[in-house]
Amino acid sequence: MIKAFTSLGEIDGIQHASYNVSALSTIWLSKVKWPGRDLPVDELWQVEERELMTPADYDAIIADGWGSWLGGFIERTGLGPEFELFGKWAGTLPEAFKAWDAVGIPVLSPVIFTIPYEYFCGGRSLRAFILDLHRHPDKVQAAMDATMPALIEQARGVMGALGVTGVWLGGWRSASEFLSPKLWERFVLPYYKQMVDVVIEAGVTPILHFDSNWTRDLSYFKDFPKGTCVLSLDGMTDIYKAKEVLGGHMCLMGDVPPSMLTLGTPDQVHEYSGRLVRDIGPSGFILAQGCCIPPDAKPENVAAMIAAVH
Amino acid sequence: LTRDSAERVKLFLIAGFLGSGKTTLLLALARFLADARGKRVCIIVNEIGEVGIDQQVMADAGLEVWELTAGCICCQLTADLVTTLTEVTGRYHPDVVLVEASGVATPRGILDALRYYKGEPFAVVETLVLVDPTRIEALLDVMTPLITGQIAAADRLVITKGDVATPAELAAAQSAVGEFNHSAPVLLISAGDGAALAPLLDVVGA
Repeated sequence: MIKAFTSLGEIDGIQHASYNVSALSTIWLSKVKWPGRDLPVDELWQVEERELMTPADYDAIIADGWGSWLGGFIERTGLGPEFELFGKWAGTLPEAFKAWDAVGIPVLSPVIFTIPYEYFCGGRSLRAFILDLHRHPDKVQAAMDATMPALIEQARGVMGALGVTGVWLGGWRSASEFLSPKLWERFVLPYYKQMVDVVIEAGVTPILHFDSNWTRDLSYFKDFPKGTCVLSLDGMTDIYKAKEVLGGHMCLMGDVPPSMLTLGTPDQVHEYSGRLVRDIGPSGFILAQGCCIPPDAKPENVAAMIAAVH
Repeated sequence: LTRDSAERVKLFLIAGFLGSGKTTLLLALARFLADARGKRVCIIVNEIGEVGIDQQVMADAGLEVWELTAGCICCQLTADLVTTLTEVTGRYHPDVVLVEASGVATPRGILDALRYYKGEPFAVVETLVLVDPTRIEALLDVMTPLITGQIAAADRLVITKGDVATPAELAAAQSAVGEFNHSAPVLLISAGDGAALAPLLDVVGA
């Protein structure tokens, strides 16, 4: 990974020190098909959208708390191997930090935090979860509230153990483009606020990895303390609007579209990236890919993005 | 060989929320076009398929099925679609390509990605948006921007499950599609109702 990125140009930071697909199983409570294991070797990984959580799981979480419930859920659904693999991979992170440190490249957001909405939506499946929000909103909210203490404790533990300077905090299923305003204000925003506060209290920078379109609700992010957050956008949110609303309040990051890195030309990528540096930056801005660099991105396109800062 | 414009491939994007019946309708259309009209049909389904598709059965019926397997809907699916479309049209030269959009995608976002498509030109690009009348009230309550965005982007609207929806649910669906899309023709269909598909088949297979 270090060789790949340093061969494409001079980079000032990297999102993750290393990556393992098992992380997705742990935040979306879903099985994930792996290239080379469950899919042809050249395919991209694929999340299975299945109802692994049942409505009764909300009651169990409310009664027993997240930690107690999660163990039984993992055993019942056969996700144990994914969580074990995730644990092993997490154990390699300190070594990966050292490797990046040795080449002088900071790792911006090596660990992933999210909110109950993303866990539940993944575990229940999007289709079932949406109906839960309509039919049993109070129960869903109670389960979310019962989940937060464990997530907060876990976040504090991880930040303390790894000594990170920034964390990946975000999701995509909870984006503004999907949810009605009243439900977003009830089931999404308060939980991000809690997590942002916890991260900031630890002296760590929340890198708000908000995939999909959050344009409608950008003004709510002014409630996050000034000068403490980075808002990382994937090309779906209007980054120009984000600058208008949040410029000077938080750093913006992004948003070269992943599809452009795969399908575009170096000239297109360079022009788009250069425009971002001029219009959204140069201060208070980190030029980066939107979301992530796809495995099938053209290396010459990634190099063009990196070169655009000069 | 380059086909003239009258023979160019037609692309139909079938959109709608999860559970609206996209895969069922897509397969019914594909079978009819292949069997009754002798068309070369390719199907591209997304990674959150609502109905399992038996690739061998479809192959035996003369249909090519491609599955989009992008790992992350939010950022990679559109690229995967364009890559797949290019390969499908280049390799099979189909008459019709039916694309099942992800249930959480707005058609506009998918169509925007077509600017990267460099394959055989499309004679027609049309969006059919399916609406499930039995759940429209819940979906509009929870997923307001997504559902209204899907309806607004439709060239044609298809209200599904006409045989199981109550009159009140059908009325609510009619009202919703009329409120958010003033111009798209609206079709009501039921599962297995081949005759009701006729107007749609004329559009897709003409």
